[in-house]
Amino acid sequence: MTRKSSKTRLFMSMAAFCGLAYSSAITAPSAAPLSMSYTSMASAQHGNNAIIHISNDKSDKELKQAEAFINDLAKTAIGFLADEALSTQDKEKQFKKLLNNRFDMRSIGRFAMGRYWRTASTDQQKEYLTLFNDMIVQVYSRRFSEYQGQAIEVISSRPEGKRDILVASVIKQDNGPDVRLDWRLRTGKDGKLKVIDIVVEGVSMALTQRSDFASVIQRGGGNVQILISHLAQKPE
Amino acid sequence: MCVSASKVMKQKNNKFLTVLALFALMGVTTGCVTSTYDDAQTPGMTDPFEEINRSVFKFNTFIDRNLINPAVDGYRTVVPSPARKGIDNALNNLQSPVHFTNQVLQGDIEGAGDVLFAAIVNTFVGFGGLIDVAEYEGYEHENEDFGQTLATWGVSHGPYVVIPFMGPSTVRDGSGYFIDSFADPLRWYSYNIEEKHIYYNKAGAAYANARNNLKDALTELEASSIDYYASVRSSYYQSREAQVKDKDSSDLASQDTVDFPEYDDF
Repeated sequence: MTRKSSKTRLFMSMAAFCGLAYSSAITAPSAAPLSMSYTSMASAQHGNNAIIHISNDKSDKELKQAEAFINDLAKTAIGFLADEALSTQDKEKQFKKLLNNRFDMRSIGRFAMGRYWRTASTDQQKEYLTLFNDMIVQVYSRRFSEYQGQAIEVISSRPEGKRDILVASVIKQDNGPDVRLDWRLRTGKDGKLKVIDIVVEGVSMALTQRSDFASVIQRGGGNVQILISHLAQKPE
Repeated sequence: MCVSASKVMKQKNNKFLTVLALFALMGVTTGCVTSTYDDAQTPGMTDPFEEINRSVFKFNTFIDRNLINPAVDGYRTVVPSPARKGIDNALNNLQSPVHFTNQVLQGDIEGAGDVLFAAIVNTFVGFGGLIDVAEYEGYEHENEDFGQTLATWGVSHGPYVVIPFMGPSTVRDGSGYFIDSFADPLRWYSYNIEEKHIYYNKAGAAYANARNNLKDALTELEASSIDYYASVRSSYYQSREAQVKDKDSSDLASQDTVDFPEYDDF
């Protein structure tokens, strides 16, 4: 068999197979058993991740400080979230304070808007950041309200990107798998550490949000105002 | 990537490997043809069938709300949480042969050893896999599927596809799933003795279990997004990327998250 003919055959069978696998992936849940994608998503719970390493010059001392920051953040949050004497509104107020002190809301908001930030007017940017802040309080309080005193264990930390620190932690659950939680920290202009992203089992909240926002803007014809009015409308 | 795949083809004339290379090429070619990356999407992601996907997604969301979620709530009421954990463990244990095969195909011999060890210990000491004894011993059982194996061979995701009832997938992961079902000894066995329902029951249980594990995360994601479709798509890609890059889960310090781009312009 010459190489050419075997190649041709290869190509033909490849094309045939391509169509077969593709159509079966789409149309044949009865032949192929259920649970494909949801299973693979759910199994993320068991997996972790590793990528490229760009080191910056964070010292061991800075890394230790970052770990202490997360430990302290967790302790503070458990402190008022588990306090039964506090009303839900009180908790939300405390939470808002915690967010504004320990999270770099401007960076998070700026990142979530991606390249559209530059197309927005100064007024739009301002309005967006205010609305974004409110939304984040909602989103993160929901995340934290699920959190019922399970132990958060800081595992390690390392430099991340050009100037950030990544602190890895794990939430230990009694009746489920451990949940991996990574915190991305950056030193703000005031010299204090701030959280700029939370990554749950490999899924970054910031990146997911940016995808969400960009899609809203794109489908709205590329106008930032669409996003702003959606944020303003958002119930709760 | 296209180049490396054709190299793979040239090198291997063994029939088995050729078939594997076909798979690789399939993903790569589809990935090469459609590169519609923009900011709305997670790097490496393509969604050329977005409008169709969105309709299917709408359908799935409707089914989730009216069928799946109430069923999951029922399941949680009837089956207490320790039992649910046991079911999760047992299903995971049943899937061990597939995970093992994929670990080997990915060249992760240590990982394969861990799966094998965990499966033996859990089957014989952990009451048929109901108790994850091995986990206490530090043997983490990683879920490896053929989609991930293809990824370690350099196959990119391929176009994003939302499948009715199944949810988000890609051409690569969908094909991988199809292959995995053939690597499941329980399938061979139940087909051989002409009791296919055994296998279907297991697949059904796996589906129910997966939906139970996912329900809270999805509900929350929906509540916190404006464009739920875009959020799920991004999360799916990120979570698959994370699973592919799980090579060394014991060394947590070496692990990374998604690449969070720098922005210094403010």
